[in-house]
Amino acid sequence: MKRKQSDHWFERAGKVIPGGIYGHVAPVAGLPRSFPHYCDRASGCRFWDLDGNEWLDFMCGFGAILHGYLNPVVEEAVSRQRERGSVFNQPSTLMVELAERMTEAIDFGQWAVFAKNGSDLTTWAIRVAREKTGREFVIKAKGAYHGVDAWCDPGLGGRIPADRERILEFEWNDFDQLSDLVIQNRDRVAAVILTPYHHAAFGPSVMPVEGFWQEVERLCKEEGIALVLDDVRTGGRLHDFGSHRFFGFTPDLAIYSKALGNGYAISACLGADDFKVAATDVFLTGSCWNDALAMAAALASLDLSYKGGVAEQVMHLGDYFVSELEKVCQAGNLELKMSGPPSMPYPYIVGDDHLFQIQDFCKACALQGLYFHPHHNWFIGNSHTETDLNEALERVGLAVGKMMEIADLP
Amino acid sequence: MKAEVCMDRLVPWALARSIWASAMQLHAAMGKEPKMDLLPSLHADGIVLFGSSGLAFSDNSLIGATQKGWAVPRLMNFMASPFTALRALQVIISISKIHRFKEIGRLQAEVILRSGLEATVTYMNFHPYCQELFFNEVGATFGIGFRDEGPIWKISWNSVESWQVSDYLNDEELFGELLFTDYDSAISCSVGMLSHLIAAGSGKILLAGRIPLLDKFGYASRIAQKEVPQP
Repeated sequence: MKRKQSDHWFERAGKVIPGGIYGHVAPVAGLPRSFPHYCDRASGCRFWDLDGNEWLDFMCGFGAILHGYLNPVVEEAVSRQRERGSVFNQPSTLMVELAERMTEAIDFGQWAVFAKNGSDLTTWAIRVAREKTGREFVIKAKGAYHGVDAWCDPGLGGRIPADRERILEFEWNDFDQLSDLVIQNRDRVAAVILTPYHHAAFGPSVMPVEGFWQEVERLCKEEGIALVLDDVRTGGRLHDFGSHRFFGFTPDLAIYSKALGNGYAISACLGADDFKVAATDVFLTGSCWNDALAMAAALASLDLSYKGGVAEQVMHLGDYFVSELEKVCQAGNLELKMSGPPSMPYPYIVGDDHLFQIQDFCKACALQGLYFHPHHNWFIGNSHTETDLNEALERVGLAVGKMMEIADLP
Repeated sequence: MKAEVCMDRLVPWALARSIWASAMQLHAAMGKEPKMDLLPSLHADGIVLFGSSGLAFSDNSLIGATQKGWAVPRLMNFMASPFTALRALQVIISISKIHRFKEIGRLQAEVILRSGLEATVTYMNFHPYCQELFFNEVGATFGIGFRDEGPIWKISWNSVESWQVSDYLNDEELFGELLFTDYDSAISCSVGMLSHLIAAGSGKILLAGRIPLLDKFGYASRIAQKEVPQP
């Protein structure tokens, strides 16, 4: 695999950007010498790196792409808006249309606000919950990712103890532990914030046990706690109208981002009516948050999802891919298993407690042009066809055959 | 039983442990048995004693010695056994020379890297935030070494010393592995001259296994690098 240009640009980056590339796309977070450092272009479910290598992609911009890279419908809507402008002194009417569209589609949502990143609104939502309840504490699941702010980021630096003094944690799916925390802190808990299922990095995804969400919802209602759903990563991939519908519960507030704009930066928080006053009292703004291009993209993207039943489609495709992938690996004596929902599968190998084998597997697949991440859930997109998936499966067969050869590669 | 080290003595203690580890590594690299053990101990009134050599420094002198290249040892201890103290001093001077040596080779890389590992492990054991980071990692073992030969050392936890660096024996189960591509990268990383993110991206360090564990180790090493003076 060629990587001369990738390395050249990374070297330049290192001189002017701390770490060269940071965050979840930092080389160290993936496979530093197997994945390219930079992308050049993308289309559908494929992308090309700077050195011209073509990749069959299963990360979809870490979830930001649901309808395929450069989806013509979304791009057309953005092009139309681009002729009128993107950021103005005042919002465009697209903001109203988008709020109307989302509140019509998402059953509990009576109002909507918009920002750019998931973090912008997960943090804002817990402040709304504090405003509404007059309470301080927030409960989250251990290891859950809710963004880059100091109360929840997974990094190690820049922290002071006060950042997390009001954040309590419980083990995902352990309702009794959650309940105990609430009882121990009765009338002090403002919000319980959770993802629809547990999709922490570096470990298999864990679906909610039967009745978990219903119990959480009941507890929150009884105790006057805001139930905040972080649907940032999952939104649009489990259910077109919100992941709470997939699991059968109703949150008070929910945050969407990633797939919402199909690659254009936008996030949304939807809320129940009784949180509307609190929402008006918690300051929220950003100079580019009214970006009309992203809102045009979101409207087009939602249209595709709502009309096409995209969540069901990616779930169906994922189901096929996951089961066939496990079979191909098993044929090569590799006990690969996929956890979580099939539209967002997370890979692991039985007995590979310290991740060496999954890293080798993904390296071997990278040599076949497959972008499989060893530490993060993958994403099946609307642009993956059965032909693409079969092509990937064929390449996996080759990769598994060659795994032993690459075990020593960096 | 692990000794207790208060925060205001953590820097001299990490420094003393690094010197001891460097001396051990220097002898091992030369295939010699150390003539004396410089295993340090902390004493009252801010004194650090190196083994039974008679070489002792005040905390401040030890830090000064690293920063300025020289310091006067405690005369009272020195005079009690001047010959062994002098020999110990010679060992420390030779370690210091290795740190300042311009040419990069295996010996230099091993000694400097081992010194950095010891300082980091000391921080993992006694620095409050590092202790917090590794609280849930008890039982983990990870290897450090060079690409061409694999892990040379392992960092593991035991109930006597808490986190410790020791020689890696083949086939021991590792939770993670950090290998340097070459000696230059090992030295640069050890002294904080190479960004870990850039080093990983450019292939100068190779990481495998449980990356978050190695990430914590890297962060602890950067805290130690910031606080513990280097020659």
